[in-house]
Amino acid sequence: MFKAAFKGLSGHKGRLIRTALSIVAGVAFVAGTFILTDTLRSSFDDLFGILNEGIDAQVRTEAPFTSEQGFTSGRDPVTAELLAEIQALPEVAAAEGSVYGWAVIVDKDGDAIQPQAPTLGFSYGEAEELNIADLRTGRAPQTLEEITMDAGTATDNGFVVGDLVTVITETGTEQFTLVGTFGFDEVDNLLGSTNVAWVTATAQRVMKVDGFVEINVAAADGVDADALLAAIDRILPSNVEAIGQDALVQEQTDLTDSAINIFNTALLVFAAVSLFVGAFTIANTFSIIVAQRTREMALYRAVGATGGQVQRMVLMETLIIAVIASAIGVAAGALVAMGLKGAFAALGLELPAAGLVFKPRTVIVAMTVGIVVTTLAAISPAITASRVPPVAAMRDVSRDGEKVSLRRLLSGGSVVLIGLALLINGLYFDPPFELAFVGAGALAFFLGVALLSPLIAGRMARIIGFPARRMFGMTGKLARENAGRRPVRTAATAGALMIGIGLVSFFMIFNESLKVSFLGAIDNALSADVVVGGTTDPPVPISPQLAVDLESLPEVALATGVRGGEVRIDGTTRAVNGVDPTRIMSVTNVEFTSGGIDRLADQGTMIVRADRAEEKGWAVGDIVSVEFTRTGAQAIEVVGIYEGEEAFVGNYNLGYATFDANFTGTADGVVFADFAEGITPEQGMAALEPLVAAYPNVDFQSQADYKVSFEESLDQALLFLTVMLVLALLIALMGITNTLALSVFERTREIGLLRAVGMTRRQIRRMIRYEALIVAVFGAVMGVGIGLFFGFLVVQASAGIGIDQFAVPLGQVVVVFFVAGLAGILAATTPARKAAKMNVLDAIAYE
Amino acid sequence: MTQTVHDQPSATQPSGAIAARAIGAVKVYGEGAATVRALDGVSLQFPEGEFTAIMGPSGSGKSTLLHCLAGLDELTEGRTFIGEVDLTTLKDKELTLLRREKIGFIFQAFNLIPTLNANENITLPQAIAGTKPDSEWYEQVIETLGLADRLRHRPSELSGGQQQRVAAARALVARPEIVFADEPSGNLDSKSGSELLGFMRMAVTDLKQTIVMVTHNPLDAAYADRVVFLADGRAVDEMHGPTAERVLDHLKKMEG
Repeated sequence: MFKAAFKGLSGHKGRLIRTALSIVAGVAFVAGTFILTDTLRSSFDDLFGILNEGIDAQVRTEAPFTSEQGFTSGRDPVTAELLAEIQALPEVAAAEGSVYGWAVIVDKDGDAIQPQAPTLGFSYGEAEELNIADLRTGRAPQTLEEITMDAGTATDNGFVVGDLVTVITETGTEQFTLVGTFGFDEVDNLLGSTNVAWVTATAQRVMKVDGFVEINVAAADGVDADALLAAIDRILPSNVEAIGQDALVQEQTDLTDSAINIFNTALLVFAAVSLFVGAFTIANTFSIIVAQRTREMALYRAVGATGGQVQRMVLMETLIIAVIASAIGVAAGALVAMGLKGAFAALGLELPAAGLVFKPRTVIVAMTVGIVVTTLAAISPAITASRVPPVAAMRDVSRDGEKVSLRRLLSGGSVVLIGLALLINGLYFDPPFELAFVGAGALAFFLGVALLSPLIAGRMARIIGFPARRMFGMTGKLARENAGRRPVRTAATAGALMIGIGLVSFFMIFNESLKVSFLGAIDNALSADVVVGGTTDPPVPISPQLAVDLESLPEVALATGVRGGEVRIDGTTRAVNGVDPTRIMSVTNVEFTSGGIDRLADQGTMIVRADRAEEKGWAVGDIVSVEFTRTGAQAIEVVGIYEGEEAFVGNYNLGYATFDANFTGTADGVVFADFAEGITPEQGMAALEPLVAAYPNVDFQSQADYKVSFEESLDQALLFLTVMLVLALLIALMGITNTLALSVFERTREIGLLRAVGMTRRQIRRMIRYEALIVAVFGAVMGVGIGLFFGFLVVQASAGIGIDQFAVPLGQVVVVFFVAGLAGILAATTPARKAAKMNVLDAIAYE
Repeated sequence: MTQTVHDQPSATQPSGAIAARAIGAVKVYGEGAATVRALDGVSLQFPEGEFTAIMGPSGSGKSTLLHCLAGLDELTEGRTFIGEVDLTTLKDKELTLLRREKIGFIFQAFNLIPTLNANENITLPQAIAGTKPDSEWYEQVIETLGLADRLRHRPSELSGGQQQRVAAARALVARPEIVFADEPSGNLDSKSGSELLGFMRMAVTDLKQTIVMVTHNPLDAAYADRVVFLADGRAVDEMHGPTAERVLDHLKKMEG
């Protein structure tokens, strides 16, 4: 039977190539994701290797947990005295205090250089063993006014040794003389970050670090890591720790790993969507091929093949395609990864490692996924094939009038219900693995709807095709009838499109709801006239001096910065704000349900949003434990409970006094300001101009601008998600092309007849295109319907995170329909051309 | 070698004008050693209002001749005319429009679009052109072919004979200059076949339609005014006012 399977394959090349392509695309996505994330991981490993080169031990103050936010370590500094003691140890060859934090370089046009990567400043090491920077030009900084810069940033921005460089730090904006550029090992830049380095004293001053963030230690010859750590440990004060290089690298790797894992998961979700859609296309193509080859199957049966043999033959065919296509997919995955890596490089994220990391796991997983998905998709067609009775060889195959079976109805219905149950459980009942529930639920729901959709496919095709019939006469009428005549096939074809469109429209609806809800929340929560910073994530650090400078303007009545940090409450990491109790109420709207803002100025106090307080069972006057990275667990008194928009006023607010006592560094995340009485927004914004020039690293936005930039950032996220789904749509289109090509082939005689009685080629093409249009719009109708439904469910479940308005972006939905229709017409190009070229005589000839 | 059989006068008098003709029609399939001359210099005329049957053994070129006359296939050499229009000078689109406006077809099978009902199938060429059939004429054709109570049925709900009558109605409703029929009764039982041929005869006698039919059935050929015999791509004989017996005899003679 293997031979027969192979023969069967080679007979239908075009459609097999399209079927295989849908597998290739999905598998390539999976493989590409793994290759890329493995490459990223290995790049970071290399990077940490470079950054920790020569550091045999690091000494720092203890922290109960590591914050994943911001530019500082979140730890208290260690003292110069400790450094001296460590340097005196015989086991130590060299020890050096290191200081680092954020520093933004201003380019020659006066604009802050702000890549999508850290902007770092640090102390330039003097000890040869410990210095991670390798000079490229010039020399190391020697005086307080000198600075060095990474060679990548210098080259990109045209800085050369001798230039004056403006740098913004915690202490404000200052100029330094560039005396040298450096690289790290082989690379001139690290992942697109900007790096400057001063002598230690300057770094300490501009970073406001009294002492050192860390002390790096190199062991003396012949001293192993354990001996070194043991020697250091003996002299360490109680709240200071020493860790070895391995632990240090591990710690840093863990931090990036979690980020890479999120990235990996996100990409894999899109890969899964592509594969799911691909499975539809495969299943559909195979069932049509089986239907077309009924006679052939019957002939096999008639000459003695069992049903099982026929079934195995079909599965064998699938397997051959699956293996070949998956192998191509894995290879294509390398291209996908290279493309993505190139895209990152274009965005300025230079990865230190050159080669792509190709792990055996990637090949195994991607191949397995491709083969399993394809085989699963072919099971139902294979079973159909095995049921072909031998007598079918003798009779003409009835092509039309396929019935929607009761079994399909029951299975479709139950799959929809299961999907719905999973979805609702995932969304409303917060089970563990919530996302898995939602994902599986959505998958089952799509599948169920696809199973049920033949019930309405015929009718829907006629409804959607009604305008075509009116507008395009007989071509429209025939297209409409053709689209409706095989409801199972039409539904399966449209189903593939439905998934992509369903997800896109869900994202659109969710995005719109988010936008409307949050814009409403801005109106509710924020009364400030000006918002400084605040739209980027992570937020740019803003010097606290900015709020002071702002308030000193006569046009500004009041300005106040809000600081952000992370704490642990009951073992969970939570965001907290640091606010000025005397000013914050003027720029935000919150309503206290008990207590008030007054005592927030006191050390060790906090106000909590009502929902959280209720969840924790806290009341005003309660003393609760809050863990800080710098100071550990602290007893904090709840002095007020308020209601307000979570996204803008947060859940936990500390006064400056408490915040600054427990966090290192005092950068504001966002600054709010109100204009003085009688100042219009235009006048006010004009008055800010000098500050705009003085603080080039932050955006000054009026409330209206702030809303616009907020909307823009949401739209950007939507665009990204949509782009990621384009592959799924392309695969669905290949499915439409496949189905149409097969339908055209089936209708050879009909088309020949139409040509004979006077239908022009152009009319034939049009007929096929209209049919595709109807199928595509049907897919879009189902997709948008599901998108609406999912959107509604998710928005209902998201009231807790501030999404309380369900909004449908009508314009975007209309665009979806247009794009779907256009895509359908595009997908019909090849089949339509084939149909039009069909030789009339071949079409009407009979043996 | 052409020899005309004159033993009986024509049953109908052609009006004199020529509906279609072939002049030195040559059709060659294949290349090199595999070359087949399906038509080897056929010249024939089909007068208006005449019912002509084309007969001949398998491979004699009768279907090829019909296809070339109807503008479905292209000649290698020679010319074919519908009325005064030289088909060999027309492009695909012009040919298509010519078929739509001036020619009717009845094929052996697969004559109807399964998604359209009988009425829609009958008026298909007009619908494709975006026009409407002459309603009086339409009624007359439907009446003649006895299809009045079948108009809303789809092909799958019609018997084979009814399907072929619908096809005949489609060919006639357009009032084409000429109808080409390719083994129209080939898939029918003898009763339905003779019914269909009776209708076609009626269309010629009563409705003055011109019909050219390819058949291998002497019973069918007997309905025609004239039988043209083809052999090896050439028109070898002609018989006016044929009867089934005479046609059969002639065929036997040709084979022998």
